[in-house]
Amino acid sequence: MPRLIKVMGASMAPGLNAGDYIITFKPRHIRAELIYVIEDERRGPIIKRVTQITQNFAYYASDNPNGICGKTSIEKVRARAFMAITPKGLKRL
Amino acid sequence: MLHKFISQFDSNIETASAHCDIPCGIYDARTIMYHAVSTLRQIDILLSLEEKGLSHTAFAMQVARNTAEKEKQAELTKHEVRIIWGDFMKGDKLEKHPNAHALAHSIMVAGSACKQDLHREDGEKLVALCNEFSEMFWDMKGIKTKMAPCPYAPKVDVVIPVL
Repeated sequence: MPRLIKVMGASMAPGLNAGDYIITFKPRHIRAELIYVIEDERRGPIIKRVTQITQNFAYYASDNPNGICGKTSIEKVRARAFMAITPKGLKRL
Repeated sequence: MLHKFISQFDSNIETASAHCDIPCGIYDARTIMYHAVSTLRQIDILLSLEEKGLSHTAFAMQVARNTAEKEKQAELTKHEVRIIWGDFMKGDKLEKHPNAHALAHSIMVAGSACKQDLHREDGEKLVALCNEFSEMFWDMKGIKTKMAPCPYAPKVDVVIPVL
């Protein structure tokens, strides 16, 4: 079931800006270079681009060079963002 | 149009954060200096408004805008200090700089003073304390610093890393 999620913050700029909406779905497989919603223990759901996958972990980064990077266990990668709804229109991610 | 339509239902839509405040090792005290100097600049602007001969309306508008900005910049100064103090300054780093806690607290107090009132010395004190904090931060990272005047008003001396 696709879910609509609102983007907060600027760490995924310029592709995704604060106030944009993303349409997400539960992924069967996690693939590098795609954008996902990750459940972070401290911050709740965060939006990041997965850069690398190992057996147990997904490494992620921000599109904004000033943003953060890190790693998380695979099961924390909750949903894939495949479409953005921005003030300028729809954008495939 | 779709974006505008959806935004009407914001309160029912889940959010996900694209913030940067997650432990990642990226800490930089230059943001503190930027906001501290901006606070002092807003104090200077506010103190000079009466000399400009503005109409009552223009004066009131200018005071409102600069006051809001002064308080915002002071709060951002406090926020940036809290992040570095809380997330970065811990463990072994504190052995060499045991006054980190007291200094961070002094900045909180000085930042609040800048928000509450309009005295240039409060802004100067905030910048001075932030310089001290900045110097301590770069020392913890093993990076030398130097003092140099910022190349814009209020042209006060600020600690910058020698990278």
